[in-house]
Amino acid sequence: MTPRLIYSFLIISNVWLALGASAWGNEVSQTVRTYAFPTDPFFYQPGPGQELANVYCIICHSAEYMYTQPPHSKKTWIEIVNKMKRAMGCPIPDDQIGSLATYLFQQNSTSPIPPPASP
Amino acid sequence: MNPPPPDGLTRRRFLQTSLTVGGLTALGNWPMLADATPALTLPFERGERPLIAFPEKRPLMVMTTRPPQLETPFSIFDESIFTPNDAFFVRWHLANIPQTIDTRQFKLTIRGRVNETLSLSLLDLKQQFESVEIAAVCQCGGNSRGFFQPRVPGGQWGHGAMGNAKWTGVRLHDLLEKAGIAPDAKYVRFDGLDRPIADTTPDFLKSIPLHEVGASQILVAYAMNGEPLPYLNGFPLRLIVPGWYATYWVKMLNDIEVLNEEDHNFWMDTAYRIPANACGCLEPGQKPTQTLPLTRMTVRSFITNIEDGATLAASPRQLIKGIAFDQGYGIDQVLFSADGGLHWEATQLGHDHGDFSFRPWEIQVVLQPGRSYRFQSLAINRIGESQQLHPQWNPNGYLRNAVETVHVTTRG
Ligand code: HEC
Repeated sequence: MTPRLIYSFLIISNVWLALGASAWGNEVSQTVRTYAFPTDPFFYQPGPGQELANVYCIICHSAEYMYTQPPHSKKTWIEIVNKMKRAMGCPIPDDQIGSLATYLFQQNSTSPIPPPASP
Repeated sequence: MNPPPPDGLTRRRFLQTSLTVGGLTALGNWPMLADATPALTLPFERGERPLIAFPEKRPLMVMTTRPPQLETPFSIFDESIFTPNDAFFVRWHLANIPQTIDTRQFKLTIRGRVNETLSLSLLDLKQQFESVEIAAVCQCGGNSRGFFQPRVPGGQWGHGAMGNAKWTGVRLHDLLEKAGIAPDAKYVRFDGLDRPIADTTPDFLKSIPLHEVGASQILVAYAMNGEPLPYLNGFPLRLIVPGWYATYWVKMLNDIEVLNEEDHNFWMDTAYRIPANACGCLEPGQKPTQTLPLTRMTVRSFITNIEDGATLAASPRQLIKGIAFDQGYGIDQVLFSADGGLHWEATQLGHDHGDFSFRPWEIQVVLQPGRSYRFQSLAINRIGESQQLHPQWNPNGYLRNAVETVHVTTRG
């Protein structure tokens, strides 16, 4: 852990302590709150199509969203990728959707959810 | 490590942050800690969830780290009727959440079809408006989605995407009254500080018809269980819509816009829709032809002190306890069955914290040695709505309120 991270955690805890005494005192209107968001615990795992997923499917959210899905059919994966493209704006080209969906189907039906710290 | 650049894609990928809990440190992306991470497994396929403490939170079940989506381990609901702030579930849609909030600069804007645009600081809210408190359950529309059969896409929650808290803040009604509503006003739309990562993703906005606001107890809350809101639960302000699913409880609320027409944004028109029929349900696998926005919660109850699959000693007086809630009519009674619904007995309701709160209940039962039991609870609200005996289905996994079963065996 670097000093900088310790420091950012201290900012949070100091503010917190200050607030303990009076839940909504003037302090709360006079503070800068920072939050150290953790980063993705893992990415898409090896398999044909991994690169596509690691380009197009970790832009907006971590790969956990995929790995925690129940085993979906390949058809459902095509629907999900289409939703990510049409509704959310995922920049996957149409001619790659098939290969990506095959990879997602493969991972989601056979590969366990990776542990938080795998590379 | 370099400080993160302002919002953008790259920092998300390369920044490595630490989580610190009570002096212990667990570092993301450090392989040596992989095996040591504690986890809980939800009782459905792919239900393994690591338990990780985000800042201000105790270890919670991580569904996704980015954006944070954290489930409350179910045992917490047995510990207190109000869910502790550090155990309260977390659900964000969009991952571009500010890392810093300067409360000296923060303003809540009320604009649109109003006579006067308001720009209120946190102190203005506190000083110019009456402060009110309400106990209310905040439950994700997709709570329990993982139990749908057949399974459906969406966030795969167990039963822990809910919590009960005392919320303190000002009435939305008072804010709108101060701004003055234009005669043609129809909807009120809410926005928070969270933004999409890509500009192509619709910003998260939710709207409520104006006629629902007048009679309601909708609050703009600044405190939760007597403390400022935790960052992940929407610091510094959160919309509280008692009785409605949490999708309306906009976090980091900073913008209220009064509209003179229905809101057709993605999160109203496409997402969070249920089949437009009395049960909001369909035959499994069907797609709805007409839909409605998801709004009010169904009546539910849970057994909290005994886990599914538990082995207990025989006992002349085994205490069973749990919680029940609905959309705000209040709980009239909770029935208990030890035999999977063949026979039902009345339970004793506990302290009433208000119509929108969890209501505790309990019962003492006789447990014979060497038996299998199927414990169930069935709540009925004050207008006679009850839980479903069998789960209903819809393609987005909303509204679950089936009677849940806790299987128990007794030692011989
Ligand atoms: C441009 C942003 C963006 C990209 C790129 C993106 N997603 Fe998503 N995804 C979202 C958002 C936003 C949600 C959350 C929707 C919600 O909260 O209801 C989501 C939700 C999901 C879910 C949950 C189930 C559901 O239907 O909501 C899955 C699974 C998922 N994404 C998989 C993927 C995969 C696989 C890819 C790569 C093709 C991908 N996403 C790329 C924005 C994106």
